[in-house]
Amino acid sequence: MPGSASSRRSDEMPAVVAHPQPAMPLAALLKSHPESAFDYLEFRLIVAGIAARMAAERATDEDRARLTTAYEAVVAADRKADPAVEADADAEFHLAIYAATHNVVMEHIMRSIFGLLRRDAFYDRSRLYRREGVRELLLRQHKAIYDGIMNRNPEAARIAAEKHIQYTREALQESRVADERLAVAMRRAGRDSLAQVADREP
Amino acid sequence: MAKGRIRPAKLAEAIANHLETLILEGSLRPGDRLLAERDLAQKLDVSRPSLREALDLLEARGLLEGRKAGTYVAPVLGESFSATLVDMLHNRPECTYDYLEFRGFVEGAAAYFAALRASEVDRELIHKHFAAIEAAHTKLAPTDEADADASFHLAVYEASHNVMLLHVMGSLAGMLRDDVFYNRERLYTRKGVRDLLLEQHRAVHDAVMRGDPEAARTAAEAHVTFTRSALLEIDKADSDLELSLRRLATPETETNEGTNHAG
Repeated sequence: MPGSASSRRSDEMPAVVAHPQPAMPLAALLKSHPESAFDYLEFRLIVAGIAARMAAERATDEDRARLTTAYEAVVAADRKADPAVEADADAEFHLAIYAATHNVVMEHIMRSIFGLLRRDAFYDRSRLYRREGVRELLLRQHKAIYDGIMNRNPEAARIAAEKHIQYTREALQESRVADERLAVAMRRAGRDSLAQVADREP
Repeated sequence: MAKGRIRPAKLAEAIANHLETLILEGSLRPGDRLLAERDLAQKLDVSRPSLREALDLLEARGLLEGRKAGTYVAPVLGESFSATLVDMLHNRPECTYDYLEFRGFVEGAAAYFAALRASEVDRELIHKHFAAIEAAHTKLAPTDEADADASFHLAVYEASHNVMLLHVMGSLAGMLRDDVFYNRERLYTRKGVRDLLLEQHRAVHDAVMRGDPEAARTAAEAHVTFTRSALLEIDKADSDLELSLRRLATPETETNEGTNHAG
């Protein structure tokens, strides 16, 4: 085993061997169980901080260039205010961070999981983005992560990445609660379609 | 969200949703073989045609496979998730250390959440698997011990009550069982390693059982870090041994370089 390990140079192989990517059955599962979005975000929270820290420590010049391109795309997408473009730019930005960790197993796992996110499988990002102030905050958070990695400041990068996911989690929670309230309000507004209203409007 | 439209769910759809939930929460695991249609229909108290329709739905969603020779729960992360990792490890065995680096962090978080969230049933299961590790250890049965080891970790992932963590780490644990990442026997037969691993598992077990998240995290991270260093040492010792064997086979080069590499 060690013989074959040392006889192969690591740069002979692409980091991630591409297999055709059929849809992940888990994506459908998560979609039909909306509460699992929070498990997904908790898992991201576990990995995101570590990944940002590792990227700050290990990023090569190529990684930094890729990250800069990705970050600029995030900023450009923000100006266009197109949720689909924004979601793609966001995913590419985070994947650039995972690539910069130089841990190919982590990169593969997170890339597989991001497949879920990219297809908008189980939470509606456009709805999240439409909420007042969310877009600006997310952009500021992405900048903090980017700066932490580019300044080679592992702690700053870790904290920024964790805050980003924590914020996303809270924003999703609030947006879900708001949806519920809206639904209730709409049912109340429509009550005369189900019954003859008993009371009189003041 | 309530749309004001009420329709009874089709029975097949309801059965499919039920089985789907069992798969999501890990009550049915990838690779599990479902009971024969007739028995399963009886167990769920539904008609066979409805069950068959439900199974067709789940097969279409990629959650079940191999309907002809028995129905199996499909790998929920998709076939390519592990296939890609297997290729990666085959082409670059040193990826094992990437796996262990990644696992160290997630293992720590899993133990942390397990200590925080484990129910009575989770705790019993964790305890049972730890007892199995101990029993195999005393009996000097390395294969049993390695299997109990894998089951113990899976029980911790389950007790973390995070389905994403469970599916990712569960599928890695399955590969660990198949020795994809490293040869577990090579680790277990190394002198002293088994005793240390047992004490590490005990530390994780104790911290989860008494509900101490920080201690559980520290113990789980230390366990994976140890595994990583132990494997590095074994790899190094093996390549040193290989080198000395090569030198013994070609004595003329040995005289030039001395004998300080032996062992």
